[in-house]
Amino acid sequence: MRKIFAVLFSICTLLCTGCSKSVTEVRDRIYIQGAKLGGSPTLTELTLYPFEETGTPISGEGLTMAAAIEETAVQSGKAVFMGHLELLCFDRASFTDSMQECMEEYRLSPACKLLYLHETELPEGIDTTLLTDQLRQEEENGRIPETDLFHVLSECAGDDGAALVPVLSEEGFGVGLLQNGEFLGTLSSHAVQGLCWLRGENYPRRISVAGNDRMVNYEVHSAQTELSAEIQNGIPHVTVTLRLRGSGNSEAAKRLIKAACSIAAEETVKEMHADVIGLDACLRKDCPKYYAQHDFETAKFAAVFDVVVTAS
Amino acid sequence: MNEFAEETIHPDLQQNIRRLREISDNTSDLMVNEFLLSGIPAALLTCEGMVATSIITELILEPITHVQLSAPTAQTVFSHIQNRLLLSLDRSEAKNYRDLFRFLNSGFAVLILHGASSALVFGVQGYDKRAVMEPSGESNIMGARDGLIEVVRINMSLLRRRMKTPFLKMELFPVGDKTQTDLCLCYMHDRVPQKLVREIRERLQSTELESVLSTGYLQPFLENRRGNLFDTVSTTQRPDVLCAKLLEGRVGILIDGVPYAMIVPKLFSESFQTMDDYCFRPYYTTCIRWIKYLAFLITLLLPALYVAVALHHPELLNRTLLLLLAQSEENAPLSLTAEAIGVLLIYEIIREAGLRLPKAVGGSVSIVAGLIIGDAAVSSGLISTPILTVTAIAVISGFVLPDLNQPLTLLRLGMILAGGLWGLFGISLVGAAVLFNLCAGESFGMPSTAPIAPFRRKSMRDVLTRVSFRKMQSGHFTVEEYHE
Amino acid sequence: MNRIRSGQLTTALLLSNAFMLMCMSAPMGMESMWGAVIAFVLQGILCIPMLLLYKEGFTLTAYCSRKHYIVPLLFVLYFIVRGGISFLLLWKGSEHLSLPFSQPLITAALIGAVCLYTASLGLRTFARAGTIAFGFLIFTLGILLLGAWQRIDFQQLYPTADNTVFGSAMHILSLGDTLPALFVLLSFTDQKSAFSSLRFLGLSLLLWEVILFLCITVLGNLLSAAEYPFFLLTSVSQPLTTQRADAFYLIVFVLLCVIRLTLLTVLSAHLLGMLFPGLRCRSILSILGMIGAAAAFSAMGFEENLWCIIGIVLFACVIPLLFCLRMKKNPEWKEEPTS
Repeated sequence: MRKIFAVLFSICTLLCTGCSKSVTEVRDRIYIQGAKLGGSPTLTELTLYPFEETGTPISGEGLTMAAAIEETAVQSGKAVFMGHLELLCFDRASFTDSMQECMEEYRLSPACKLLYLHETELPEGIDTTLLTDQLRQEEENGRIPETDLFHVLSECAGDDGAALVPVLSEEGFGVGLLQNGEFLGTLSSHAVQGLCWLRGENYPRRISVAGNDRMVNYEVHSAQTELSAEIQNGIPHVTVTLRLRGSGNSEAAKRLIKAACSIAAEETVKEMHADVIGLDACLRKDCPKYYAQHDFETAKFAAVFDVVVTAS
Repeated sequence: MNEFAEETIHPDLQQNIRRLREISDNTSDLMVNEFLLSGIPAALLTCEGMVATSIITELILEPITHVQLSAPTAQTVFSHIQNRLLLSLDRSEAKNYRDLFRFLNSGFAVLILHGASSALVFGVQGYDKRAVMEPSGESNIMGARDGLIEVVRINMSLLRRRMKTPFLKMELFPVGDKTQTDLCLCYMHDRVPQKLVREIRERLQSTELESVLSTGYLQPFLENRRGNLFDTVSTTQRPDVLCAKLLEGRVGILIDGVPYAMIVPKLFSESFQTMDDYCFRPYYTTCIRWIKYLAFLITLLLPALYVAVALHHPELLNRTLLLLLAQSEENAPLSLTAEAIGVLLIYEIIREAGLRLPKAVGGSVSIVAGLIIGDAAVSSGLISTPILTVTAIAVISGFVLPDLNQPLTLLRLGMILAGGLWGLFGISLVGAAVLFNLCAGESFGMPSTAPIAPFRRKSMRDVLTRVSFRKMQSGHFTVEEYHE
Repeated sequence: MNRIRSGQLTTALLLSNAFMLMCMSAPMGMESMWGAVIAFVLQGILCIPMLLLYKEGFTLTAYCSRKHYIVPLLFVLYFIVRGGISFLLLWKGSEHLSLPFSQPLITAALIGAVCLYTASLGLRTFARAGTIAFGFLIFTLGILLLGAWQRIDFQQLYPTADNTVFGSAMHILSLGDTLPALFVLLSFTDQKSAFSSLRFLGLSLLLWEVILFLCITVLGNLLSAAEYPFFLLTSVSQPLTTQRADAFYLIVFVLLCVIRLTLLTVLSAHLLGMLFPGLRCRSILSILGMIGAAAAFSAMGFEENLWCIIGIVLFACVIPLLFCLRMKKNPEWKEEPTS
């Protein structure tokens, strides 16, 4: 019996050694830190930015993204490894359709940052590390909502397919909305601030509010956002409850946050008809009967928002 | 079996001596001293170098030569010596040549008489032996400093000095057709299951070995199945460890000529325990024990995981580490798998060289290996620094568990190969096979993975943690509790 | 004697169930969480006849020794079919895992080779290995929770339109194929059969609920697009920043696969051994049967469906019920053969 096992195992081993994908050595890979996708619907242009230590930027193009990656691999003479990709820039909103496939195929990290290039190009010789760090700092300081690959994919898979992405335009960093492969537009800075509060993922650590004679800081210690909904006269009424703990002029802070949240809801839900604040999930959870009976896709954008901010 | 084994001792002295010389083929170390004992021809047989001459002269020759009986016959003289003279504390009688030679070659003085078909033997051993000293292979900080030596009777005394209870039983019996090595089976007869002792005794006595020169000769007879990667019989050089194990209802086997005791059954978790664990404070011991578990995983898996992750799943590596690795591997001539296996093989060669060479030269091996080969290999680019570091960490972690050195050495290589070929999938497959192999280990019905599998919560107090003796003193534990 | 403890029975079946959970590909939603509760309650009800049967003193060894061939052979067939389905799930699942092979057959062959070895070591070894693997599973779940914690969004716990509680319950029930294995394993369990069965079902339910909860609250909208939600969950739950850790879960996936296939192989080989004591290479025959069944299902385009539920009900409930009814007429089923 044991001999049979030994023979079987040896055969399997030999078979597998021959049949398995040839192993790519560490030195035979190029490790990509940033990538830029562009081109037209029929031709994908790709620029890869390896980590400084492992190579210089390489460009390639192909009919599909896979073909473009192949081209870059040929140019660099090494296998392309994108598992450590930290920044993915793209200038066509339709690229979001193939993002999930990319994530599985190229083992992209869900924490990879996305950056939409709106009518602009990445400057020659750009430092992708700096760009990524700047984006990260924007998020960490609560200046833009969390918008990594996972968040964008998750939002794109929602009913209305709207997703929030950081945007780089000639004016600098901003946040825009993509929906079903279309770029809807850039949001105002107030709306972006409001989205940080509404989405409840990364709150600012500090906000500048008016003091007696000058602007002062309101330090945010912790915050919690809760969305609830009810149907009144056939219209969904959404209450956003924000519980703040902080130090400073809380009244001014409450006013500022309330205004920002209202602007955010107005710009995204009312004007752009895009749900990036979890409205759909909230309405499904709180008003399931109404949801089943009505054309909610239209109804939810008619929702009335009420922002309640409490501070302690 | 030798033809003289059951042959009874010849009553005629000259024929007896002739037969003895014939059996031993006139060996030079057989000393025959003929004399008259109360008018009857007699001879005192000894083995040169095995007896203490002064003791023989004072305690045997001197009193015997003064024996004067009125109507002496062989029987009356023997009876007189046995009943009236206390020549030695260790006295016995040999009826056949096998026993006679066994006693003779064990350092006994043998007295044969004309007309007697048996021989009297007196324990007067006086051979040179190593002093009881600190065991070299099982160092500890706070435990006792004495270790077992090559003489079984001394080892028995070391044990007895610690265990004054009459429940400690020691059974001596010879094993080995040619060597007739004394084995001593030690156990606490109030704690150990009699079935276990009986089975061990039967297995040891039924061996057809010619010789027993080390523990390895007997180990296969005490293991239940072949193909086990991990030992199910443990060895120790320390009498205090042996005592602790005996108190847990295990059986110890002392072998004459071997400074190690074998202990049956062995649990896998014991590989992580030392005598010091019971000397230090519980919280410290618990911490050290977890470090040992970690060291076990590191020594087994670290190089394999490193190779597997670097080759097949680089996304698992930290960015800085990956870049460091990529840079250092840039100019390496070999594949990562080959590098890892090569470094490990070189380490094993160096280790073996260091062990086998005389101590004076052994030290220089580490200098040549560590400083010259290691430094030169890295600076010439033959081997990358990360792989050398990873291998060194794995090897050093292995030093924490000397008991598991043999299986770990092989498994480490196997894991690297599997990891290099098939990534984490391969490691997991080999790991599953090893896990099952470990779980299949059983010693006389006691699973070696106990008390983890089968799980016994109560025993976790000395596996996951080490509670204080205040808690451990209650409920005398015996390994029989693990019997399946 | 090849007996196992009640705790070992629980862990062995739980691990086997965990593999099916990992390979679950159906749509998930909040209904699945209720569906899981119903499915496990149903499984508990299905267990009643077998528990009563064993309470009466029934032993499979005694039954087989009376030259009853058909039922044990049906069980063998069932285990081989389930083994085949497991191989099939492995093939399908391996496309979403970072395996170093382009051919799924090689994966199956390697796992099969390891299972041959592990199955040859017997039921008791399997049971012990299950206990350690259970610890490893708990550790892995801990890591998963740690990684997924920050992404949990309770807002995602809402009823979905394309899923019903009944449909989810039936689907989860169809994956609960360990009940027939429980019936056979109870023959080798020392005591506390009812307790260990309930514990197994309770822990399985807990495991399902935890994973379903994580999948729903972490994946959110992505859940509807995920073919294998568990694999997607592992790829998005990151215990560390900027890296994906899903390859780590490959270790536990393979381990669970080996455990499940070993269980099915050991049981079918054991039953074959009881029926045909002279038959050699029983484990090899079982494994080859499973790989053959997997190839056949792959060609036929097999999917978990009503047939699975019928199989479970038949082997876990109907057969034990029939045995229960006929037990009084056949008291010899109670005794172990003395020979």
